[in-house]
Amino acid sequence: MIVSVASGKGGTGKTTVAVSLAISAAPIALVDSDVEEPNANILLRADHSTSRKASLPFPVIDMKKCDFCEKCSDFCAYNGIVVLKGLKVFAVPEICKSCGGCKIVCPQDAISEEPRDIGYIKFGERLGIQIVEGELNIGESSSTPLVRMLPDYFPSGRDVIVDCPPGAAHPTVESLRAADFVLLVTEPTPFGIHDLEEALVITDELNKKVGLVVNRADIGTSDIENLAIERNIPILMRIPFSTDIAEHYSRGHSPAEFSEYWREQFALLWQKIEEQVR
Amino acid sequence: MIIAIATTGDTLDSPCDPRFGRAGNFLLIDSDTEEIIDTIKNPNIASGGGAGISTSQMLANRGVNAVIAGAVGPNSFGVLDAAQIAMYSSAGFSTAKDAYSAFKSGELKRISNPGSAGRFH
Ligand code: SF4
Ligand code: SF4
Repeated sequence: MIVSVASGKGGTGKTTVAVSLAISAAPIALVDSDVEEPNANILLRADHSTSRKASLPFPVIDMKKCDFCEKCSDFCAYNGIVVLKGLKVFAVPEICKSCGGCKIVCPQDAISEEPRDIGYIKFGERLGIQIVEGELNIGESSSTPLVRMLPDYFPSGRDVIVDCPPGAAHPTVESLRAADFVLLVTEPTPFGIHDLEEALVITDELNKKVGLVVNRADIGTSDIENLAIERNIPILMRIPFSTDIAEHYSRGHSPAEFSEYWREQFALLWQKIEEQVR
Repeated sequence: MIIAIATTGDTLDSPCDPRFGRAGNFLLIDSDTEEIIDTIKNPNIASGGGAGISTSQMLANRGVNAVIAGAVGPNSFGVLDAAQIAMYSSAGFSTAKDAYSAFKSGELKRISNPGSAGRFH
C-alpha cells in the first residue's frame, strides 16, 4: 500500500504527520518527495547508509559534425537548445526537459547525450523505517523529474508513506500518482480550506481515495467539517493545538517517537487508512 | 556594427520596450551608416518558457553585435554573452532614438548582470 501525505501548502504539519504515521506503522518505508526542501529526516534522524546521484540525459553537441542547420532549435518547443551560427550549439540546463528530441532530428548525428546530475537520492533506516529521500541540487529549476524518479526506489515488500511537496503544482501531482490513498493534512482556517480545495482538484482528477487530518482542530472555523461532509471525505484524525504536541514540534521531534499516547493515535490513523483502502 | 533596439513600435520614435525576450519589435541599425537595416517583429512574444533564448539566438544569427533593451533575463544573458553580443540598458530613455543617441555618445550603461529572473517549471 502506498499512502501519500500531502497538504495544499507548507506549514500544516504534513511532515510531522507523515513521520509520526511511519513510526506507528513500522516496519515501513518513508519517501521524502519534497525534494526542494526534504525535511522528513530532520524528524526521523536516520544516518544515510547510501546515496546515489540522480541524473537526466542532457544533449551535448559534436561541433565537428554540426553544420548549424538549426533543425534542433526549431524542433525544441522549450527553446532548450541554442544555435549560434559559426560559433557553437549548446543546450541550456535550466530549460532543457531531456526529451531527447533534438538528438533524433539532427541530420548530422551531431547530438549525443550525457548524464547531467540534478540531485541525490539518499537511503537510511531508523526505528524500523527505511527512508528514501530525494534532494534536488540548488539552482535546478524543476523538481518534477526527480520526483518522478522516486517510485523506482520504493523499497519492495513494504508499505510506503510518501511525504509530498507542498502546494498543488506539478511536483505534487507527480508525488501523488502512485498513491493508493492520499492523506491531506489541513488546518481549520480560511486559507487552509482554500488550499485544501485546490488539493482536492488534483486528487479528484487522479481519482484517488482521500482522507483528512485536521491539525490544530480546536482553533479556527468549523467550515472544514462542513466541507468534509459535503464532499463525503472522512476526517480520520483531529490533532488539537495542545501544548503537549506543540512542545514536540518545537523540539523538532515526532510526537509518535516520544509519546505513547501519540504513537497509539497514529497507529489508529494507520488502521483507518487500511480500512479505507480495503 | 549592428545594433538591435527593443521597441514597442516599428520606428525610431517608438517607445523603448523594457522587455527583451518578449519585446514587441527590434530595430536593427547599422551604426556605421546610421541606417535602419531591418525591423523585426519578434516571433517569440507569445512563446512559453525560453522566449529570451529564442530571441537571443535570432538576433545572434542576424549578425547583431549589441542589443539595447530595458533588462535582460538570465537565460537571454547567457546566450547573448556566449554570442559575444554586448548588452546596454535603455532604462530611463523614452524613445528608441533617445536610447540610440545615448548609445552613440557612450552614455548607455552596459548590462553586466542578468536582471529579472525567469524560472521555468
Ligand atoms: S540539428 Fe545538428 S547539425 Fe543542425 S544545428 Fe543542431 S546540432 Fe547542428
Ligand atoms: S532534449 Fe528535448 S528539451 Fe532538451 S534541448 Fe533537446 S529537444 Fe529541447
